Amino acid sequence: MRIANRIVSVLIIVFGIFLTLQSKKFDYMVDGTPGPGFMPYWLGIAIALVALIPLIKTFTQFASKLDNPFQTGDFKNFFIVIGSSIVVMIITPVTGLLIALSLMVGVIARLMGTKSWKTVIGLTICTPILLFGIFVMILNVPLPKGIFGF
Amino acid sequence: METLENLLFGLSVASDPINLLYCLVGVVFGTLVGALPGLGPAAGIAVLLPLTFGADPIAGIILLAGIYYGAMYGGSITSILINTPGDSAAVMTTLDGYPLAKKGRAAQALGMAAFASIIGGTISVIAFMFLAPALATFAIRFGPPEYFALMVLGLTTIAGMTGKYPSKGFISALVGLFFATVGLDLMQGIPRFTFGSMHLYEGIDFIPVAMGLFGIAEILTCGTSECEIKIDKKDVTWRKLLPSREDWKFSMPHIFRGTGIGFFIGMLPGAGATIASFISYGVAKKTSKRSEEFGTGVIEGVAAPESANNAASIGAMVPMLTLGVPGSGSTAIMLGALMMFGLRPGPMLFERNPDFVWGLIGSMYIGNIFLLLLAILAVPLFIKILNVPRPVLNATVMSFILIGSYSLSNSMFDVGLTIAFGALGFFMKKMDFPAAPMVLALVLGALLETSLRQSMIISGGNPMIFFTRPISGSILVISILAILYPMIKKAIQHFLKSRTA
Repeated sequence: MRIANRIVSVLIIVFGIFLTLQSKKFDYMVDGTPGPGFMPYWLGIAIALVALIPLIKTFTQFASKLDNPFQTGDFKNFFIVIGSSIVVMIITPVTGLLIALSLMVGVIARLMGTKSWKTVIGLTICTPILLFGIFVMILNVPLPKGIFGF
Repeated sequence: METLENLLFGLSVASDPINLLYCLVGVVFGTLVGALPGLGPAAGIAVLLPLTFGADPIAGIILLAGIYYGAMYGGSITSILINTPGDSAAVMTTLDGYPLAKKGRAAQALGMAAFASIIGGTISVIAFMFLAPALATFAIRFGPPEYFALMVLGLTTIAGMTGKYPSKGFISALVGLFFATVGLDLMQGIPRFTFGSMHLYEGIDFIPVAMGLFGIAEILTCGTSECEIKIDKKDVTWRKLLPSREDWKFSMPHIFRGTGIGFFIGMLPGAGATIASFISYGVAKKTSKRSEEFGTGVIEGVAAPESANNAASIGAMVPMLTLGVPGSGSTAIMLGALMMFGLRPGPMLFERNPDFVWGLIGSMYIGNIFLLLLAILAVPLFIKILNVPRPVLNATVMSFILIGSYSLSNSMFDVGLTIAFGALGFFMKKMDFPAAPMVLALVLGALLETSLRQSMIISGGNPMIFFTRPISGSILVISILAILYPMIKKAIQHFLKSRTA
């Protein structure tokens, strides 16, 4: 936890400084009143200053008592869910959103531990039908279509 | 006496079979859109608006109002069962609702959410009936300094949401305030932090952030068997839906307080049910006898925001009907619908179209009864969701989240934003950065900055404007006391302890 906190604190401080520098692009004051750069400027400074607290704590006894937040296997679900969601974004122009989501549902269910193929295939088929019923039929949401026309 | 006569007249108008049908459809549909992540009442109202085109204006507004307050209850269902707020007003319900579900008390949490919603809604309709003109006159006096003070008051609730590490909570809030600055600057019209993306010109929408930080982060961190929630079928009985006497004892004061807060904040243009639920939760946490247990699954943590968001949905109709000023995004759409019906919202509406106004008020009483019936009938069905294996539930919920975020503005950019905030939420959760302060700050940030700058323009750059105006001054004093109260309380306890020792 100590190393993770230290890295995150440094990143947040860098972000705060970046924000303050970026805010210089906008007027700080306009006719004696706060301009568009006023709030981001002070937010950047505040973020950097507050982030010093967890950073300083990593050098104290307090930090050594904390457990490592990342355990073996923690990233498995992260890669499955975020990875398959990114794939949805990439393949939607080709397959359409409904097919992309149906594939994602099957992949997530299977890789997260559903052993029965019947359940996986059932989910892959039923979920887009349910989504189509609610979002297209009832709510008239125009979902992105792929090269197959749906 | 006149009010009661008007109410009876309104109930007779609302009891017309067509109006009853529209009310029922509105409440059922509202509960559905409220429960679906990403689809809030505004989207639901907008989608069903075409249904009212050919209908009588009274039936039309009854349908739209039903969606609005139905969605307020519906949002709590997914908040409690899968830690995914159906809409922004239900975010606070997740904080204690989901831990209650994990403890095996999902039925009681859902039951309390329903009762708190209905009590909050019904009391607010009564208040609406008696206090509408006077309260609307009070709310119209709010200018930018008062709004700034109100936003500061809202942000003071962050102090109660910082979790184990206050500094991390405040970082989360400050980053949330930064996200609120993204987009076109409303006063100068220049893009800020958009990095050339047209999609960011309108700013970062609250819903993808909330769905990512709460919904996806939950799937990412709780995909394993230890997060599996199993409810014994014996737990899913009608009787279990009824909160216990102890639950009522803990919740009743917070329901009444939440109703008052929700109704008042709902009336303020722009504030809305989300801020009402945030403040109500914060107040409940501060005033509860077991405030240190908040966030671990206390029933009043569900009752307070749920009563507030339903009360706010009714309160938001006060300025809309009496002044023609919408109190929220949903009432803005309803205001457009009123104009579409050929009605002119404002004080004269009560005189010129009493059947319309009192018919709507009457329908709200009936709608709340429908809501209660629906809550009792549908809750066991929703609880069954919990018994679905976690991988299956995760996969299905993920598809709902992504399609829901797309449907916000029919944009794949929102889908990407939701995924990005989901990834951020995972790391925040692992590193003990609470998500709620970020979400609250994002909601309040835009109005906070705008009202600050408008106030300074009014005063010619003199910050004393916030203290010299009585309403803003009073609210700011309350905010300062809210910040100092825990410290003073701690100091007094310490003093008393040292004296007794």
